[in-house]
Amino acid sequence: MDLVDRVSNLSTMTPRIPYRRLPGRSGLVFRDSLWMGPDHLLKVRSTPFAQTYRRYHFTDIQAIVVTEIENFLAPIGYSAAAFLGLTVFALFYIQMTFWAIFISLFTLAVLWWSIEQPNCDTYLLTFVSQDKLPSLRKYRTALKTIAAVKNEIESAQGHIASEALQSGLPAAQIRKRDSTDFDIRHVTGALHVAAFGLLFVRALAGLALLNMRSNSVFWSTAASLLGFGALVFLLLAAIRQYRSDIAPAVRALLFAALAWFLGCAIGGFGWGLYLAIEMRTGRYNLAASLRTYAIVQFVGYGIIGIAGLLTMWYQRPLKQAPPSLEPEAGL
Amino acid sequence: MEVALDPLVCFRCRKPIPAEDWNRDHAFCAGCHAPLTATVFPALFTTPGAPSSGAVVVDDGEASCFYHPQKRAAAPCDQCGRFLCALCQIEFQGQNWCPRCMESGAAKGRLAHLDKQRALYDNIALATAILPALLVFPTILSAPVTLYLVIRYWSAPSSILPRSKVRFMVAAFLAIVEIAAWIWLIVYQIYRR
Repeated sequence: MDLVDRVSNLSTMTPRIPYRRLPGRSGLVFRDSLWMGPDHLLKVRSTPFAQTYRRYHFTDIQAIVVTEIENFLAPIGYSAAAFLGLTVFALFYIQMTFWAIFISLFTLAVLWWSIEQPNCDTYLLTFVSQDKLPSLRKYRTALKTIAAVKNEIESAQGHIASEALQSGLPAAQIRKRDSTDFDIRHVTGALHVAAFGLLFVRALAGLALLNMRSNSVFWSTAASLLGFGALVFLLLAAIRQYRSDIAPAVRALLFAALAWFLGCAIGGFGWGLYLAIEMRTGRYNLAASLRTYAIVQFVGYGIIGIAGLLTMWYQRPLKQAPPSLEPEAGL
Repeated sequence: MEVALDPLVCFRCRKPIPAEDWNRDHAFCAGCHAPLTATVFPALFTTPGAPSSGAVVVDDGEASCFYHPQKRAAAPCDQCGRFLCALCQIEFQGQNWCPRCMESGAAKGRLAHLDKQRALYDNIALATAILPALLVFPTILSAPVTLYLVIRYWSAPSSILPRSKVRFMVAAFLAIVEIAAWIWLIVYQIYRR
């Protein structure tokens, strides 16, 4: 018998590896998960009929980088779920129970899909690879998982003193990694100023409408056009600020303004449904409700518009050159 | 600390993450302002050594490698006993392995540490039992196939992760029920005439 045939008895020599599942998952049919073995991490890609494995030994892991990402699908999903939820409420209210249950199931599916949307990318680096860990696609989960594996990796490799990193590493010691590097664009912020300015003017138009005793077609149309214009400028500014040097506060305010528009749309939809139902009974005061809605809009537009303009004012570039540090001649 | 290697980059904008931001709980990318966490380990600062090609045999009496007769033997394979040079010697799970034993073990799926992929025969058997049942008639063929799959792959290496045999059991139960139903139907039809 060939000696190599003894390998057939290897099953007794390789006992089952004890794996512990780490937090994080992704996918429904094609699932990704991460497991911790005695000396390695195991990335598992499961299809209905097979599993694919990738191992990262604790001694080989160089770094784990988690980056938050902007995923616009999640807010879209939540908004859709909110619209659907209001519709379900209205259908229950008018006792169309079958359709209410049917749409509520669909709403739950949309809500689940929104919750499942990723908000971070996690990469694991070794000397020979940079692999994405698809199961770690939620920021908090990723941090929790890293905390769980950090001790194991450090017990295999040792610990880096935080002082060494805080003091910074000499640039000469760092070999450049090939990367598709790009320059961060400079943005003057003109679009942002226009967007926030239009929001403020829209608030003033709303105030004018509130103070009129009768409905004015001109002012209503003007307010609507101003709101639409502000929305267009906000969207253009959002595109423009992508990978730019604009201040984080301005970014946050711009997203707050977009969220406000979305909230108004959802709120208006719900309000409209409620009014439609209540007006059938003739119990509702339309003028009072419209006035309340207009006041809420005026306050929101006004606050975001003023805050945006003030932030842009504080973030404006200096026109005067700073004084020279060179000593003047003769001194 | 030896020589630091590649700088870490933000995987969103590909801008380098400064060393001051490494191993901090919360940091922001200098390029895209995205919140990020870069956890680094000592392996980032070390370069793996080049593998030894093995020493050359000097005396006639020295043991030589089975695969490279001109190289001096460094260790025997713990599985087949063949002498191995430093190039052929593979340390794996605290034992010395020769390339052939390693390859053979991996090919036979007996080294769970090396497997890159495994088929889930229990899921296949379960799908074979359930899906044709939706159309009823295909079960006359699929039920025996399911039973065959259960018997054939009951002891075959399945997932390397913890996994029970419950899918196999359910598939076998369904297949037996389907077969029993078909037998009953055929016998009933015969005796009814």
